[in-house]
Amino acid sequence: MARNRYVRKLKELRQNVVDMGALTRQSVEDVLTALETSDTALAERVIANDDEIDKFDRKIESQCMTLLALEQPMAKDLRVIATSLKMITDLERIGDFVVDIAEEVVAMGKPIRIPVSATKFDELVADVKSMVADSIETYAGGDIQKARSFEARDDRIDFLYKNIVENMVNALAQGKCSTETVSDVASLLYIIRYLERIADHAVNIGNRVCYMEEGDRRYLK
Amino acid sequence: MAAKRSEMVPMGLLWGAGIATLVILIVILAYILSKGLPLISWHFLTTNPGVRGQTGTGIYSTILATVAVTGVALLVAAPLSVGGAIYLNEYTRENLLRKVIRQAAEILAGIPSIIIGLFGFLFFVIYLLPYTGGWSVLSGGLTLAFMVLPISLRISEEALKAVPGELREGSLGLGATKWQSITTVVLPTALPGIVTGLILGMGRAIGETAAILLTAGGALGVIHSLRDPACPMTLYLYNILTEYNDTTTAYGTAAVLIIAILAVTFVTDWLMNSYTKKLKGL
Amino acid sequence: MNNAIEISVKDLNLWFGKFQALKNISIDIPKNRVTALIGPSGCGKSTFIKTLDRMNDLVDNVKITGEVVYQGRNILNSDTDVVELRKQIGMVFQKPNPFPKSIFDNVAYGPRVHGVRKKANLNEVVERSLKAAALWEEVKDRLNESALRLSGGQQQRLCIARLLAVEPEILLMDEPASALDPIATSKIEDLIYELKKDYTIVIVTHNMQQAARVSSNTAFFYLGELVEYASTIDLFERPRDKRTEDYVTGKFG
Repeated sequence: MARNRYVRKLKELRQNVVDMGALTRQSVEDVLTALETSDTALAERVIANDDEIDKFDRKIESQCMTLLALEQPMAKDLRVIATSLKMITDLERIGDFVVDIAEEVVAMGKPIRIPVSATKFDELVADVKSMVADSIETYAGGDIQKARSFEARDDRIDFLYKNIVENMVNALAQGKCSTETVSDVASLLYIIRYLERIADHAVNIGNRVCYMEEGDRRYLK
Repeated sequence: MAAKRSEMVPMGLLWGAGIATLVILIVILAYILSKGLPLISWHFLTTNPGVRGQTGTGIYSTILATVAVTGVALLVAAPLSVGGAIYLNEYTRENLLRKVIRQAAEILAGIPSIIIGLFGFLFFVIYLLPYTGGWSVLSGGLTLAFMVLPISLRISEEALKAVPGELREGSLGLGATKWQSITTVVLPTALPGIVTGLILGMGRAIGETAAILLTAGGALGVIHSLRDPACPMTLYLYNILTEYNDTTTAYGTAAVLIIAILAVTFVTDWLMNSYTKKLKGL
Repeated sequence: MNNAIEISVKDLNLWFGKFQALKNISIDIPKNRVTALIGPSGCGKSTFIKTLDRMNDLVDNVKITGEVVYQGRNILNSDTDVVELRKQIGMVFQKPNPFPKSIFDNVAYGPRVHGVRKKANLNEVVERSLKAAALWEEVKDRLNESALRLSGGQQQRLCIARLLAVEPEILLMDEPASALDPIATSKIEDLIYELKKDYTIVIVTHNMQQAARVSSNTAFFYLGELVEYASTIDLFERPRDKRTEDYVTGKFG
């Protein structure tokens, strides 16, 4: 096959994106673990690791620009590069939201007391974790069938989010919270907002991967 | 940079070989012109040769005869050779017929002139007597045409072949017919080559003696028609040298012949060069 | 691709002796668009384009079956007036081939062989054609100079002007810029873009980026077959056939 060097470079690019994805996914898992166990040390580490994610972002962007400038990529190659370029932005934003969550964990400094049904919150956390994992996996060459269900899953996450917000606001309004839990509720409202945004970015990633694989611009909204 | 020692010997030999050609030409020209030029004068060129053996006369009628015979040869050979070349190159494919015709031309070019003269004698002088007038300019010219034809056919064909196919494609692509393409693009481009071929043929005709000997007649009078017998310069040269040992007139005639050929060659070269330069836009 | 069709090719097959150069080609060339033909060397694209103006007639031992329908008639029929056809379908070649004549005489050649004699008319045609070919400004003061003095890019534009002077409907271009430097190439590409408003253009190119730049439809030829034919953006962004994908990404050829 011709263009061996070029093919290798493309493979390198994809691997880098996969690695960045793995790093991001790990960060998401870590911060949610930190939240659960109120592990501020872990949260600090997560914050520090964001540098790695940002480094990847810059490195991959540079790789993409070089390939575009020098190799005149076409067809699938072009779609891979374009998708990678956009996807790292989504990953990087996920990374930033993870940092935001970590900062809340550090600020709270102690286990949170959730004034509403814990199951909904756990469900939200689980859903977001799996969305992030799945979206990164579809890029790595998995099954874009999974990606097709992202919209529905995101709707579910939005529903959970609104539901939890409503419940917490009600609890506040009805005075069911003590002064300590109020500040926790405030933090929590921020945290689930970040989670919901993380899910949105995961959906973006899924859509872009569908475009990358099939070339249909309808996936790009 | 000086050539290596081992290179210098072959280089020297080759240079010598090239120079030798030049030297030979110069020697011949110098010898003849030195002897013959003094003889050339207006009188020489415009007076007729006297009664055989008489010296101190001119070569006027022989000049006329040379022009006439060469003219006939060219007039016959040119359309045949150029037309034939056009037909072969533009209208036929590279097949057996073309190869045969080419081979025939080559063989014809190689036949000794005396034999062609013999044929001319038998065919034009004897057989076609009523039409050619027997020994005549016509018989001589037609015979010479046989000698001009193969040369100019071959060269014209090469000249036409040298015209790049893209020019034909270009003109046909604009909707020209084949004939239009040939007359407006191919021929003008091949013209220098074709004219060169004709000039080379003409050179042969001017200088031909053996065939003329057997067909033109050798009469010294000024010709009034193509059916009159004639004595071109080459034949005259031969005659006065062998019959009358008149070396002086011989040199004079030779000198005129050489100058004529040189002049024609240079002028044609110059003309064709300017034409080619104009074509190429240089 | 739902505008008028200029040329409709159906089941075109072509043999050079025993070698089949074109296999069952069927394609519709749209009017007033630029259609590019791409493919590796020897894939048949040049042979195909030459069939459209019957230039393959000049080659020995050619056998052609199928239909090429233009203006309602199959131009492959033996009763086609080829001279007239070539007035309407003109070709520009890879290597510019100006006649060794003046610039004026080059452009006026076409009209002259078709009977235009009056100087005023010829002047007008020459000026108009040179302007349309974006060459007028550069040569208007030296129309009597030999065409061979022009640069490669100018000569190619001259050849285009020469074509335009006979007012064809269709311009066929066989790798028109491959002998030119990048600047001359861009000028030719700009010219093609301008010309497509008034003419239907079919361009053969081995330069994919050029095809991508100038054409609205692209056909990929491979080993004598028409592998894929789509709008240019579709063919280059999401080709359907693997062979096309491999070719446009440079993985072969």
